[in-house]
Amino acid sequence: MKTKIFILPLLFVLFLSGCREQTFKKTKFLINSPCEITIIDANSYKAKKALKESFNEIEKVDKLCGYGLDSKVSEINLNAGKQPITVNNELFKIIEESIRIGDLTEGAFDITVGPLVSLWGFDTDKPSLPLKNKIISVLPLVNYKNIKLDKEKLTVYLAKPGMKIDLGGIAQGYAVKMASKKLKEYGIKKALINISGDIMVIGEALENNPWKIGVQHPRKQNELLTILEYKDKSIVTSGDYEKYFFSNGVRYHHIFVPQTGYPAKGTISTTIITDDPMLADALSTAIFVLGAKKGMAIVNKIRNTEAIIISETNDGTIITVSSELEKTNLKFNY
Amino acid sequence: MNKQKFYKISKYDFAVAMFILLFSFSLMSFKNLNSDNKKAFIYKNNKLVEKTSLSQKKVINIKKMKIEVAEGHLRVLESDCPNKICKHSGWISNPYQTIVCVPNKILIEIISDSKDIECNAVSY
Repeated sequence: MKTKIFILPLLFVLFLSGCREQTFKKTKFLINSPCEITIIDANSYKAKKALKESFNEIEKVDKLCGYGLDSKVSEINLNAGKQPITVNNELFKIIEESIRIGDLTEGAFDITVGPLVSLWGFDTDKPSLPLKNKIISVLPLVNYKNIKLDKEKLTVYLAKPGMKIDLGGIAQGYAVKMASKKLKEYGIKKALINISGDIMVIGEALENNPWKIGVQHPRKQNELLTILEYKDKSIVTSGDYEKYFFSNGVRYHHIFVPQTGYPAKGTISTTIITDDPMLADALSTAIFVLGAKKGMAIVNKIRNTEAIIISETNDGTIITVSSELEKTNLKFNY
Repeated sequence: MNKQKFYKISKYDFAVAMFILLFSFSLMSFKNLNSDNKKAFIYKNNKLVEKTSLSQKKVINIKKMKIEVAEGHLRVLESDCPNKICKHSGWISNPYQTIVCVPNKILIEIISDSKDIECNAVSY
């Protein structure tokens, strides 16, 4: 029997084709948002398994932080002023972190804005301008310091009847965080997670280039404000163009100042770049509320965190960029 | 007892082996050479219901939504949703752009084979 040795190059070719990096992408509609995960890996079995499991994580967050009548969040809200509700460790930590960020941002981030969201109708398809006295009447219900946590019993209690927590400002960031954690558990070194524009990039993109993340132009729908290049970072943007309505020529958007009950004025877009997607999500809302001066002062106190804040003033549009980002000579389309 | 004989590699065997190697490398890179093929993927309730090249010209009907594809762009022409946010999204044509209709649970995204992309995703 003769054996031809040239079969070795054939095996070599097969081996090489299996080693080549490929892109695996999946998109699903969860947490009321388009959720997209892209993985770059040479191992197709590992990548597909990681995709499936990371979407399972997003589904878990959807159930945990959702507003369905049978959800824990609804149970907490229904028992405001009545009794503490026992929650699992995960939900407890999300609420605890929300309170910490509330302290960090001097109350600009506040998950007790639920009554305001409902009053303005931003939890429906038809938001509208409420009467001033109605806004004033719900303000006493908006204060995250009235959330009472018992760490030993794992209970959450809203101290005043009518209080409502809304995790909309942090849930997507948390989902991104959990999905990225799962991907890393599966040994994925290059990935991009995008939940309704809340983005986390892991490692680098194809051919070891940094991931390119565009920032939505706040006033031109099909244009980008700028393009950021990062690896291993989270990028989250809050804008007044996401959910809004016009009344008598005035734009009213969904990002409230907790202390006044009205949408924040002046800022039209904030982009936060930091390591933790959950922090990025909450901060993007808080810095939007605080505005460029106070907001950037807080950004500067947080490690590894950069920001782009776009403000509309009487003197025109101002783009404020954090110091490290400014050194990169970022170009803006404005 | 039969002895297994190993055939000595001749120059023709070597030539065939090199040809196979070079041919397969060229196949691996061919896919990326000449495709700027943008496709729209339309999902309803997380299930892919339509896939179409943006180079086509047509109107796609999904329940009470009409989606128009023309000249490399796509837009929602009509929708029965209350706020028509999907319709107000206007034309999209880039791989990082999506249109979402929450009431109808429709998600439209554009995928491109081309490596020459402006960005991988958009933060908004």
